[in-house]
Order: sequence, then C-alpha cells, then structure tokens
Amino acid sequence: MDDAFSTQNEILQIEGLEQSYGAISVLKGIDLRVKKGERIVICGPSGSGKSTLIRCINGLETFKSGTIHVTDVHNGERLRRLKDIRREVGMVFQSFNLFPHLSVIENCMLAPVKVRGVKKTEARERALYFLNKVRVLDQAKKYPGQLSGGQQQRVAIARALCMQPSIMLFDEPTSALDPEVVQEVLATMVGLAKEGMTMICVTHEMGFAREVADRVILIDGGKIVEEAGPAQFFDTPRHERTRAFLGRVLRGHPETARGLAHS
Amino acid sequence: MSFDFAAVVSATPYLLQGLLFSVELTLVAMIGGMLLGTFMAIIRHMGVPVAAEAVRAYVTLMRSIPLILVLFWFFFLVPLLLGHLTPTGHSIPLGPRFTAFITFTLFESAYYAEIVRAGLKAIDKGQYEGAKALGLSTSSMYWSVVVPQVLRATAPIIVSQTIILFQDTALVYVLSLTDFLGAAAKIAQRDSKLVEFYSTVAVVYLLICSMGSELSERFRKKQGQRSSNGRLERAKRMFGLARP
Repeated sequence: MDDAFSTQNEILQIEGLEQSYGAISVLKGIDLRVKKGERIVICGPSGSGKSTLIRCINGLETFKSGTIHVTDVHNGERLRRLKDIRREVGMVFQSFNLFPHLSVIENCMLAPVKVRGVKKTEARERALYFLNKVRVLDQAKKYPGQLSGGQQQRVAIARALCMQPSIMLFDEPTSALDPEVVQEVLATMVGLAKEGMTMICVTHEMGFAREVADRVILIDGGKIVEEAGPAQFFDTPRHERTRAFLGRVLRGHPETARGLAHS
Repeated sequence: MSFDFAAVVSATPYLLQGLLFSVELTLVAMIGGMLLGTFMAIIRHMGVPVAAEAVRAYVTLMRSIPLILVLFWFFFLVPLLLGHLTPTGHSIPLGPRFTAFITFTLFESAYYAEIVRAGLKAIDKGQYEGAKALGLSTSSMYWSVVVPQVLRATAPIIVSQTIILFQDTALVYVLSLTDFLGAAAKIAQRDSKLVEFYSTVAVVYLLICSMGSELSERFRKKQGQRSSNGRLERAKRMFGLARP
C-alpha cells in the first residue's frame, strides 16, 4: 500500500524497471521516486544504463518489465497515454536535435502550436520569453546551423520549456560541448533549478551536481549503487564503487575537482 | 545542305500543342507521383504491418517493368479486367489521355517512393527523437520536421528523376497521343525536313532540362548550402562539365 503522505507530490514513480538489448541486460530492476521540484542527478560509467533509464521515462526506449508512472501535476491524475506523458515531460539531448530547416523561434513555436493548440501569436510571445530567459533572444531569427554549440543547446532548453513541462530530462546536455561553453549551459540549468523545475539530469558534471542536486544517484551495471544527497555522496560515499567512480571522474577532470572543492 | 528553319517556325503552333501536353503530363505525374510516393515511403519507413509489404511489392514491380510495357498493360488489360467486374462483361475503355496520366503517375510514384525512403533513412535519428520528445504526433513529425528536410536533401535527385520523366513522356506515342516529340516527328515526316525538326526538338529538350538542373541548384543554395561558384562554374554545371 502506498503511504499517502509519501506519495504526495510524487510525479514520477519507477518500479522494477528492466530492459535488455537482446541478451545484454541494461537495466536490472530500477526503483526511483521523484517528487515535484526535486532535482535528481544520475551519473555512472559508460554503458551503465543511465541514458536508457531516462529515455524510458518519455518512451524513447521501451522496457521489458516494471512500471513507470508519471502524474499530471495539474490534476494529480496518472498520465496514461504516451502523447500525454511527452507533453508534460521535456527533454534536452546531448546532440541538441534542433530542427535545422526552421529558425530558432520557429523551433520553439512548433510544438506548442501543434501539440498544445496554442495560437501562433501567443506561441511567439512564449518563445521570445524563454529565448530571453536562456539569453539567446538576439539569435531568434537565425537558423541552428549559424549558432555555436552552447547557443544551440540553450535554444534546445528554451524549446523544451516552451511546452511548459512539469519534468525536464537532460541526457548529458554538455557532453558534446567545448569546455568553455559548458558553463553557460550549466548556468542556464542552475537558473532553471532555482525556479523549482523538477529535473532529472544525466551528467558527468559533478560541480553542477553538488550545487543543484537534491539527490545524486550512481548507476552501474544497470542497478542503482548509491543514492544520497550531494554532501553525503561526494564527501562520505557508502559504497566502494561510488568511491572508485568519483576517483576516476575527478582524476580525469581536474576542473571538476576544482569545482567540487569550491562549492 | 540548307537548314530550312522557316518550316519549323511555321509549325510552331502545332509543336507548342505537343509541348504543352508533354509539360502537362510531366507536371501531373511529378506532383501525383511525389504525393503518392512520399505517402508510400512513409508507410514503409514506419513499418506499418501489411501495408509496408504491399508497398514493397508494388515498388519492386513498377521498377522491374519497362514503362512502355506498363502503358500497354494499362491501356489494353485494365479495361478487360474492369469489364469482368461489371454485370455486362463488356470491357470498359479508358481513354488514352486518362491512361497516360494515371499510368505515368503510378509508375513514377514507385521511383519517387524509393528516393524519399532513402531520404527518410538518411535523416539523423535525433530529429525523430527530438520531435517525439516534444510530443509531436507521428503525422506532425513527418509533415513539419522530417519530410521538409528530406525534400531539401533529395531535391537534386528528384529533379533528375523528373527530367527523366519529362523525356519519357515521348512514349505516349504507343497510345497514339501526340507529345512534343511526336508532333515534331509527324511534321518532319510530312514535310521531309527531319534534320530541322529533330535538331530543334533536341535543343528545346536541352534547354528545358538544363533549366531544371539550374532550379535544383538554386534551391539547394537557398537552403544555406553555399557552393563556390562564379558564372563560369554555373555554365559548366549546366552543360554537365562540372558537378551540380
């Protein structure tokens, strides 16, 4: 029986999630509950299943067994259809996935008009608002190909925000960016977190995790190895594998180590 | 040997009639073929059960038989088949014009379908995922995101196919229809001026097809794909001496 108090405000419940590609088991039973306004950072070695996990949430991946429940924040009811879930769950990809044949502002207007039935004028207002928020308003008339990587990713964030989702998923949003522009995108994400957006973020940026996360989760070999608040996760991890992972990450990214030391 | 250009000039109205038919047929077959072909390509790309297999069979069939055979088959056999379906059993004649428009459209759609299908597969998977993640319906995804990109990318190949289609319209002579080449041939034989008429026809075909290639080049450039060129390069391209 669900404890009524603990399920209050929960907008995502994942139970016993399993997925495999042929004989290779990628997710071996994941349980995760996310409350409204929580910021979850998921990290782990390559191939650990972390991307697969968040892609299962909005149906970009199917799964063999287990359940994923997304709750509509507006009326507290479970969202049953995939199209409803995708309306409420926004996603930002490692490779941006902006539509190259549409201008920046058209990219942002497309989904609200087609999916939420928003009038074009209102969609334009909304797009300008969010583009301004991520500080690429001056690029509104340009095409994605004319923008830098950091600008493109910020446009991608604005595009997802234009749908006014209740949950934002980030799949390694800065992994394809040059180091000098990583910070501008992370700053945008931090701003989003500060406004109370529910976020689930797969990333290697440990400084960001430390600053913003409510919970940090380590996934390795398809299972959740450690799940804790950032202070405990980074300073006093319980599991050996977490320690090993942190050691590897910090050795490979001295700037992240500096980031962690400063925060 | 003298070149009696005046004979060509005086036959211009008749030639223009033939040219009009050629252009009409090309446009109908191109537009109809692209609509049908794109629809079939999407069905196959999505893997719709049964329908995708039917499309595959149809495309394979149409691309295996020469157009001239398809024209014959449609003109002579389909009326017979239709006749079997009616109570009287008489074959229902389909006029040659109707046959030409329908057959060319159906034939070309198979070729356009393969071009579009290749384009659909070539589009980065992330585009499909980005559209899905935004909640776009399948039809919106194809209509607003994927197909526009496919058409921009495949425009040069579609133009090539359409140029071939334009040249193939000459085959309507088997249905006793008069296209541009047919009109020229008739007058040329009547007036015994084969050289003049066939040369003129060749030049006109050359001009029209080159214009088509130039159009696709302009369209490609408009999409922001700049190619280094000056006038010499453009002229070279028109005459097939440089890559389009």
